[in-house]
Amino acid sequence: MEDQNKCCKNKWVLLVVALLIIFGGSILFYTQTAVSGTKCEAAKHLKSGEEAGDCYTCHLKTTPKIAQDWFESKHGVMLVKCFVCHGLPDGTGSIEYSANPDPNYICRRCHDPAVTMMEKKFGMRAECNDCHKYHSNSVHHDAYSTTESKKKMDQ
Amino acid sequence: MATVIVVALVLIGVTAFAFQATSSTDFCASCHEMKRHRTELKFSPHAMDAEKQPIACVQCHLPNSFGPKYVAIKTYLGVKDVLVHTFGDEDDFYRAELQVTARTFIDDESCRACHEDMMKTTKDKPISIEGKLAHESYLGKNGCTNRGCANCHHNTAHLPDFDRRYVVNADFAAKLPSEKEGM
Repeated sequence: MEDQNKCCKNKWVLLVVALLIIFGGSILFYTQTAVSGTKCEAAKHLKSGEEAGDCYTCHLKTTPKIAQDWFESKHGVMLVKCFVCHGLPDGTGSIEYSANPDPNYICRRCHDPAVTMMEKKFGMRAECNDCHKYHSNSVHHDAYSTTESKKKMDQ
Repeated sequence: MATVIVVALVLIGVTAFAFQATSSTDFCASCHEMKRHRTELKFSPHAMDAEKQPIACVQCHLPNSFGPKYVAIKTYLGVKDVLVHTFGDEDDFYRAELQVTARTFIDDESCRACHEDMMKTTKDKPISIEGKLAHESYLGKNGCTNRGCANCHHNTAHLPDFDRRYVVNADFAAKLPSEKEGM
């Protein structure tokens, strides 16, 4: 009789633990998959080709932080404009239009020698952006002293 | 069988009470990590709604209506907060990374509960041509961004130090005490 009780108790504990794991697991799965940030890319957001080249005027208002970051960055100072990396929304540019361009291809179009050299020394990270912020790679001030790559090298 | 029903009812009651009790702004700000977020909210354009009522954390950070999504997000964020509060280190409070997570869980329905007409400003005037283009692509009428409100409208209620240099945030930043002084 006692054995049966013990066995029954164990079963209950197992059941509760299993339910908790299933509940927790499903919540974790749901939050990781069902709620995601960017779901699809902008296919084309302007009808007129004339407007397409002048991204900055519009994006200073619609994405002001990205526009200001770019304006103050090395790419902004050197006038490496949006379409050099992102292409043109109407698809007429020499590269494909993309809100999130493939860094391994796009960055290498200009920075191939440096990328190859750094790859030999430190290996390749998945995203150039992890260390070199695309829109805020500034000419000077504290950006150089606090980049992720510097931190890793100091340690 | 009766025991199971009683246990289930008690569990539902306890959960309902816990959901209610942990949904107030005072509860959120009872942990010291959240104090600066509360201070920022107080000075932000989202401090009060149109009826001059203070806006609670959960009005933006949790879905607007009760359902599976609400339960899932509430549980996930709550457990994460407790774990980080108890076992977390300084790296867990790197705000540039926190922003990305927080924005993911801001449900568009929560924003649109107050901001009903996307083609009008809060002052009931028509929005700019750029805003109209952006909102049209949000609605899928002209291309498709599908980014969600909070992925374009940054710093509407909170403003970390590193975001204060932006021209667009100048008004908000001017009202705030510096992050080092008691935030």
